[in-house]
Amino acid sequence: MGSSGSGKSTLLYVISGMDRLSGGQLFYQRKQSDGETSSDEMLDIAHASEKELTRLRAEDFRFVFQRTHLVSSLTLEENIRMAGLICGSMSEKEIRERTDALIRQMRLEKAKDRFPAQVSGGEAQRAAVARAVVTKPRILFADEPTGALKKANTEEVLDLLTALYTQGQSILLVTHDREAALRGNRILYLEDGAIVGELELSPCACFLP
Amino acid sequence: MERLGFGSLTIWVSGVGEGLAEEIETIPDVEQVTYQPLIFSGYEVNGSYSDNEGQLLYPDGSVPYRLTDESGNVLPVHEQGISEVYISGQSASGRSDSGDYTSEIAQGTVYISPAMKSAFDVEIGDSIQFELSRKDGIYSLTVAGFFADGFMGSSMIDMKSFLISREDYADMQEIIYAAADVDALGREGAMLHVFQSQESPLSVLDFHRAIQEGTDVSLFTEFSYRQESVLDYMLLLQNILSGFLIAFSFVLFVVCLIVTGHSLSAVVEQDKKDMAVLKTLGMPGGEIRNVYFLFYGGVILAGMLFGLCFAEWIAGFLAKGLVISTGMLVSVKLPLVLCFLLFVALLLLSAVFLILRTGKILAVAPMETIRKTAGGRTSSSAVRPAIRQRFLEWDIALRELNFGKKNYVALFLIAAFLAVFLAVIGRMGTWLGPKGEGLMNAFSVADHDLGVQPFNRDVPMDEIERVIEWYSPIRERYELAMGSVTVNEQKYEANVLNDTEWFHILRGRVCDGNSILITDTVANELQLSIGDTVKVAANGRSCDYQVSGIYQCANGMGSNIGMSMEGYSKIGDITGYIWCYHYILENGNMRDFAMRYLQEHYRGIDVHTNSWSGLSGIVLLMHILILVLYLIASVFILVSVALISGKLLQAETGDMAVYKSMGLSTGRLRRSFSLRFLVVASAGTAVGILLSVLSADRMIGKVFRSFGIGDFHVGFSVMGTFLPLVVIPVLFFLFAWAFSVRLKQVSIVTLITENQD
Repeated sequence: MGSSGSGKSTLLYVISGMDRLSGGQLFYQRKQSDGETSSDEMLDIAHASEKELTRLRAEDFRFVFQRTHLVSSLTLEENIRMAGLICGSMSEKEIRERTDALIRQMRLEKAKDRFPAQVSGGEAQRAAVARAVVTKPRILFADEPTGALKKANTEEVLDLLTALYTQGQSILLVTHDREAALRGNRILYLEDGAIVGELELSPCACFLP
Repeated sequence: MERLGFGSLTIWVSGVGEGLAEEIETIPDVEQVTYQPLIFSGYEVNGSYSDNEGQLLYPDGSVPYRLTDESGNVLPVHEQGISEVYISGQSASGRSDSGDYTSEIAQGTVYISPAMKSAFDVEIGDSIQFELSRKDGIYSLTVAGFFADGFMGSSMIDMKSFLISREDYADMQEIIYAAADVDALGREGAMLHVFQSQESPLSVLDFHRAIQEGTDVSLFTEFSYRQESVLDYMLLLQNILSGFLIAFSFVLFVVCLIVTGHSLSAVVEQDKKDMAVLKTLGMPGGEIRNVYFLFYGGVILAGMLFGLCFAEWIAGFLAKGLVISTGMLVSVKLPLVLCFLLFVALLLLSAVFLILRTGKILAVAPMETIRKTAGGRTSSSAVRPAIRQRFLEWDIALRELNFGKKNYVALFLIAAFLAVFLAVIGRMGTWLGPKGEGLMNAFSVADHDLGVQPFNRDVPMDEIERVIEWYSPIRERYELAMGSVTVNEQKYEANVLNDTEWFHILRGRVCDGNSILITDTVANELQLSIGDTVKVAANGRSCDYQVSGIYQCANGMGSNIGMSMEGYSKIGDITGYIWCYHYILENGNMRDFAMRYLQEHYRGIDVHTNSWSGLSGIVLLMHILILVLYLIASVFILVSVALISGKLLQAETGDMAVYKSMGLSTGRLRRSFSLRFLVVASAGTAVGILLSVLSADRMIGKVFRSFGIGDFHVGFSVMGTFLPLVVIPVLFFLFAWAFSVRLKQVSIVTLITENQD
């Protein structure tokens, strides 16, 4: 959390591998699995190849942006499903079941067959959140996910993220909204690119809808 | 033709002097007859005997021949042993106002038609042996260059003319005079160029008839051609090629408009927000439109001027390339008035097109546009192709196609247009065949591998057939004779077969003793149809025949009829040495070997195949044409894909970044993007091919009929069907793949940057 220009978004992009570090190292411990055995692998995100980053984005990391950024030629349901199809770690049946469950959870039953340009901002952002978690990523990066939403929609999306968090989903969320930040269990305060404060909170079950 | 002195009618005669010209001049409708002496002689080049005699001419100053080097460049006077000859009315340099000049040729050298380059692989420095007499009558001359021979220079004509020095001509005359009649192989002759007076009311056919009836010219005539016929031969290839280039230019112009329209709409779409902002500031839509109109108009004008700079060079390149088949070095001086008119017409068409396409700028509603710009792409499509994991790239491509259908209409049209054209040219190439079989069959009376015509009774035909059998068993044999006849008083060549089943029948049935076959050309000229009765006459005898059918034989531009031996016997003499024995061999590949052996070992016979020396040049020309058209089409596909893919990528940058953020690699995105082009181009090409299958044969057939070729039909072929069907989509795919490299630059940071707005 931090005020505008504090460097919070930059930190998020660097950690998620969307932006390159100008110096230093950034390691991510990922699980390697060949189907039978699994092992840990340390990946230097700062120096990872585009191929490695693509794989990371497909399997481990997912994003929710301030703007929804849904693929305009796909319906909301297809946008959610597409993330699973690209990932390739789940069968089509599993993806479909998971998508249907998320659509119910996000209350998108009526809007699921519409294109992004035909739905409200709240519906689109809920679909974006559903798309981000359909493959059960290890970390969900959210950059001001409610920044472009109306008040009612903001609460709705934050409730969904909180529900996901309580279900075990790791979320790294950047916000300048104090209320949104309080939904987390660890809050870092940034100012001029440096961490100037930290707050540890107990699990936020009280915020659940 | 005027430069080479051809008259309304040109008659080739043998064995007579200028007296015949004077006799023709007494006919009231004749204005003038010019006499051009020549020698008919067989010849051998680079080990190949010509099927037909050549005609040897010397420049006497009456005709300003244009001599060229191997590249088709007109030779300056005094080069290659040429010395200048003054022609009255021309400058002392020998060069006339039109750029023509004549020259005197050095003794021992010969100038030939460029068409012989492709027919005999002749180069400057090679020697040609002319057979003038059996006893020491071989006269050898060295090729010093080429000359533009409008008529016999064409690959369509087997007889070739040779320009030699006056001294060599005189020497050759001596050899012919010295030889006994039985030993003489060469003979003297002349071209009589007959000019019809301007006051003459006669048609050319009647004029010809008047000359034949009023003089003894028919006794000495080898053959004769009306100016129209000569022009037809001269221009056959030129017209076909020009026609194709014009049609292709039209196709490319349409493609240019499609591409320009696409580019314009992409730019307008991109700048729509700016336009809206300008409108909110009070700038009228008309003024904004003028900016785009002037910009695009300026670019089109600059492009046309740029193209014009190369027009003369390209025309020269084409002219030099075509000269080996056409025999004519076409002037590459651009006709200023025509070019100007064409230039203005193209500019006006482009201007109208731009006015129509920029119309939507006027309709840009400021606030609506600004609001819409913030939203994503939309579609009203009800049909949604499924998205499956297994065919993800393919399905994404199909979804995008379905989602933005109208963006691909231009692509579809371009592919269809190019496919139609390339399929048509491919079908022509297929029809022509690898060895020119199409033309061979079109111009021959009946199929055959080998033809042998004995000229006297000493020719041992039994032995000749045994020789042929030694090379390959003879599968079929029949006899053909050709004779001049008149049909309803119009002169035509009669092709007489002892077995009429060999005629190429297009419609109706074969002829018998009471009926004849006519070509489409004759049917049109004489307004005849099957079942009509005509009067056919020859040698003072005539008989009525019924037209039993239409057959194909493009000889003399289709001015011929087909008769049975029984039918011809009613008006002509069938007992002389007029019959040519035609053979179809089990192994047709042996025909050239058999022909060469017979030519080398037997005298008093004419041996020929179904081909002629210029055919290889025509086939080569067709292959070059196909290659050039494919290259031009490739360039247009490249430009089209560049513009269309640019527009699409620009519109889809956001979606592409989203796909990347979901983990779809650049490679898969590029494949999916290129697949869209493959799909649309395949569909467009398939439609184009279908159109060509349905209409090309009829279309080409119609054009060919004017050249006497009555039948044009091509089924499935590699060049006409398969090649365009594969090449066009593949080129679209490859170019799209190349241009989609821009996707590498699409970064997820784009999505972040938008966040930071």
